[in-house]
Amino acid sequence: MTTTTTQAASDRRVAPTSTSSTATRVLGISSVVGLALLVIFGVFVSPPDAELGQTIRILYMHVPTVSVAYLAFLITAVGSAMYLWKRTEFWDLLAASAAEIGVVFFGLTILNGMLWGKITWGVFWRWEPRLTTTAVLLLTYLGYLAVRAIPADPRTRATRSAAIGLLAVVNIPIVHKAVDWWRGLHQERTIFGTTKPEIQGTQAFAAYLGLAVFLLLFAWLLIHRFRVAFLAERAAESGLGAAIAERRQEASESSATAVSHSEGDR
Amino acid sequence: MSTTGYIVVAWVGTFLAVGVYALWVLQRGRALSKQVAPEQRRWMKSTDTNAKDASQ
Repeated sequence: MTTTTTQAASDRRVAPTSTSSTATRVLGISSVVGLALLVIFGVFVSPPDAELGQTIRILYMHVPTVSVAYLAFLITAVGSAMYLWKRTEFWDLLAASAAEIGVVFFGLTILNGMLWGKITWGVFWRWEPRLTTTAVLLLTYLGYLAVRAIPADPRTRATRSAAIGLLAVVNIPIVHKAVDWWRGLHQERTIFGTTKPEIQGTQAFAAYLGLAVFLLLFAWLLIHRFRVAFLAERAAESGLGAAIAERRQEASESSATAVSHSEGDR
Repeated sequence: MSTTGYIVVAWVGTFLAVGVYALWVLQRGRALSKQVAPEQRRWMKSTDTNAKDASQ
């Protein structure tokens, strides 16, 4: 009985039936608890800002999402460079997984920014330097994902996308410095900026909590997405293997039929 | 729409989008796990694409 239970437990460890593991469960539960705390502090406890008023609550979403998106794109660049050096599947899949999550979070950054802009500027969108470079950055990474979707053998696809992953990251400092280089509507840099954000107390707590929670969420998503990409590769390989075996069987059957026909003619 | 409305859209929209994406990833992982042989469902196993090409 004990041996059977131990064997069953061992089999479950060897062949997971989903992309979950102990680490992802801990990360997932921590993220959910953190998000609940963020709602409490960001929506209900944090007071309105003296200058920004209630709109500071949108920034509790805007700043963490853009931070996670930048981090994801940096991981894509590192993964791309490492792929070109080591040529291993791990780095290619890591780069691709991070890029997809980065696009999701960057899209949310733009959505939150547009909502904040509508309240503050009276319009959802202006073709000013920061917003324009942001749109270009999003399009670049959408292009990266589109290139990955083009049917090709894994090595060609990985090499193509690694090149784009390395080129695309150059856009990030341009987006980041756009508020310094050109005059526009967007406020000055908050992340790694020259001006220290004047928030403290519950506002600062909500802002940093948001950052920590979204980083946890990103780690959880990245592990799952990487495992999904890994499984997709294995599924594609087994599908290809089955198709080749089927074609070989068809070919051998047709050659056997041809031989029997020729012998019949004699 | 009032300021409160925009704030609600920002929070609900963010949570909803991340939630839907997370569910999609989990669901796809479960579906793919069924298609892949048990011995291949190992995480962090790296395949050298050069070695694979050379062996083919």
